[in-house]
Amino acid sequence: MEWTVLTQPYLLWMLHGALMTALLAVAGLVVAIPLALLIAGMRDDERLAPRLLGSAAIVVGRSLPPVPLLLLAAAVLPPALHGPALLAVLGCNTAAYLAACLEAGSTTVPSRQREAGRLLGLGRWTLLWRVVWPQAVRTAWPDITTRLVHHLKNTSLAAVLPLALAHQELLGQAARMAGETFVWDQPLILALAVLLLYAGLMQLACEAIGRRLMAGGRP
Amino acid sequence: MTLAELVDTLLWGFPPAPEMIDPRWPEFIQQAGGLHLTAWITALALVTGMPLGVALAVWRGDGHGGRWRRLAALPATALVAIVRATPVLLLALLAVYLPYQLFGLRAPVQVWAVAAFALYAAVYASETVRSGLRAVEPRWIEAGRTLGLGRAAILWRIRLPIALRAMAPALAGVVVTVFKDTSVLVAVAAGELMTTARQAQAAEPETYITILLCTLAIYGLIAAAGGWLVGRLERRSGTHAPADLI
Repeated sequence: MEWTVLTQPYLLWMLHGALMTALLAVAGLVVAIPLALLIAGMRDDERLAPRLLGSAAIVVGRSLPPVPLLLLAAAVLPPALHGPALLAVLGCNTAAYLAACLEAGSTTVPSRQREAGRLLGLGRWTLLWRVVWPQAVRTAWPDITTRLVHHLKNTSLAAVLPLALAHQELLGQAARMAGETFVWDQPLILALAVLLLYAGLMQLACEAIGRRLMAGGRP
Repeated sequence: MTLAELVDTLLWGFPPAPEMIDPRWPEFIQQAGGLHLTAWITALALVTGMPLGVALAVWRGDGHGGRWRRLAALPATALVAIVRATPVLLLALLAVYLPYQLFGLRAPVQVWAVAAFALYAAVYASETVRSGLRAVEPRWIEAGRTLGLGRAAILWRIRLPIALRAMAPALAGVVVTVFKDTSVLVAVAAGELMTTARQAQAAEPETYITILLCTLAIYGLIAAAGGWLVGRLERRSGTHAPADLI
């Protein structure tokens, strides 16, 4: 069988798609992580309104599937804003799950540590940043790792958006090649191989970080 | 299209042309559309995927045992690792396009969609069931051995019932995840809720925002209700569904 996907220009398209997938995953995390910290901070607030807002953000972010949100963004926004909309949808989806992981991890931090922090005059956000969250991340790291890998996989949903060719990620480029050659198996198999490689590398990196977190947590 | 007609369309989909029905496959799934088809795909995927997931979990074992035991579990481990790392959209595309391109197999797209999500549900269910099997206290297994039960009987009559009961919240999470992720089938025009929304959008482009908002509302309400149910099951059982579910 001749592997058309390994010939030009298709190989270049797939390599470009692989690069865009990696960039999209990183850019999505740049959006997701601060948003997750904000939502987790709101959930930790003693006042009702921020807590409810944080809960609503988590419920909405986890309940709404990304695909209809992306299609709504594509329908409403001009093409120049499809890229930022994609980052916003992926980021918000991942942020909701990360905030839930962080909240679950925070419940394992002994309350006496929070009390000690308050007695030392630490503000609420300083207390979270310097006392609660480092321990919460350590506890919830396996769940956070799973969520990060899921975020990487979610970048493939960009294929449903009518993005400019230069911005299409791996699956979008695979569909582009299939549209030209009417061959689906080769680009899909190559896309699968690249995504498995990315997921494996991300898993290894997260395990290495997890080991350092565990080592740092020992008294 | 009024709002009531739109909701009715999203719930039941557009009827397919009679010549598109393949008589070799069940007609009910080919004639269904919209949320109705989404429910069928989810239900059939879970009915086939859950037992497959239990079988995968038993095949993989708990990671203990000799070298040959671990070697025998390698195909199941590889399958789970590959499917878990594969985006669900790519899984759907592989299921729809590869069988014909590689083997000349033809079937309605809804059948391939069920197959893809059955595999997806099986892999996630297998991880959940495996966690549950590991969590069964050794004293229960010892009690079974004392009563003269063999390994298979201990698995079937002691470990699996305890594991499945303990992992009920996580398994409920698999149901919600499969339901939400069927939205990716819009890429293969399977006729489910998201595809119906796109078809309605093409038919009445001036109401596209209303159509997509209604679709989002349907997905969101059902998924939120599922998430609430999972939360209740978690609180009742004292267990915690994994982060990648729900």
